[in-house]
Amino acid sequence: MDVSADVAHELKREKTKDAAAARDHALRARIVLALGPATAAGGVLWAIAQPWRLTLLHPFGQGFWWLVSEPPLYVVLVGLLFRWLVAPGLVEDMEAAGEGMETHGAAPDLRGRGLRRRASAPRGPATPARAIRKPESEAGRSGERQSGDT
Amino acid sequence: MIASSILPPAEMVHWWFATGFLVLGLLLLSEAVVGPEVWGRRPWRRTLWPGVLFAMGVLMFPVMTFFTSSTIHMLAHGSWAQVMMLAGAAELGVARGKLHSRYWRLCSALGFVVSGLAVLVHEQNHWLFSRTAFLHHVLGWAALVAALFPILQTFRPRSHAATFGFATTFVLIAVLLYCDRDTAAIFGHLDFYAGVPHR
Repeated sequence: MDVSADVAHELKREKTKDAAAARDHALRARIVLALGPATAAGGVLWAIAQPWRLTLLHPFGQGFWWLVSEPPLYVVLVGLLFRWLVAPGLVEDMEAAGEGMETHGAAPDLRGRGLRRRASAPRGPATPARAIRKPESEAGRSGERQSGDT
Repeated sequence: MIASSILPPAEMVHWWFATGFLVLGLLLLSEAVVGPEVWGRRPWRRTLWPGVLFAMGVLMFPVMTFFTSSTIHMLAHGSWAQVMMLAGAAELGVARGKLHSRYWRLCSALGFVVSGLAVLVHEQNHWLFSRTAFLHHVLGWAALVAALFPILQTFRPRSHAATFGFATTFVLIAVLLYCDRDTAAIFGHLDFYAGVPHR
């Protein structure tokens, strides 16, 4: 009887831990997905606040460099490129790293947010979700680093 | 004379480099959010921000070559080019697994210190002389303070504060560089000798 209660408590603790990890995982994914649009929104706000910075809106009489230099558009472009080129792969890899949690039905599926899983995308082995939170290995920033000086 | 007439205004060069720093900031922020394990899952991604940093260092050499308004400007731009390339190359080496010591991260700290000193030394006007002068002072001190982040990362690799601080520094530098204008007032101050303000 006591043994069953212990097992039940253990399972409950595991489930709670998994749910917390899944929430953390989802929050991180949303932040990554929001970085690009937030940057682009900053560029749009700048363009609205200082429309004269966009010489394309009044191109007559402008020199070459003034037509090339559209800083608010640069900001928008950086935000959009990050959202299109970098963020989807990062979220895919976070999902792959959190597949262990998904088998418990705890991890949310973020693929419905306009993300397509590319079959050809290289992907490493699934890593436990807790590994995502581990900020740095003992050796250094990348997984390839080992101890010792070069 | 011909060269100076076809060169872009200095403020535009600042905006282009601001864009590069914004890219760096976004990449580093996202790496800080997802963690190094997820970030390193694709080999090309590990080389992304060090590659951008190295490329910015290379692109700083034309700036050094063509914007020679004074010797000290040329020296400052040259030193930025070198330390940016050094920091980018060190991080590239670590990302590719060619370099292993965590102390290579100190190259980024060196980059910040040299950049900060170069900015402060080559800005000879006081803080409220013009917007450019003000931004140079802020940039210089910000870079010097930000050098603490990579130093902290070297000795405390798990520090979230250091990771996010390092990433946020690049976003801050981008914002400051975007604010740059060749001749403009700062908080209502514009020195008589700064010239005629334009947009």
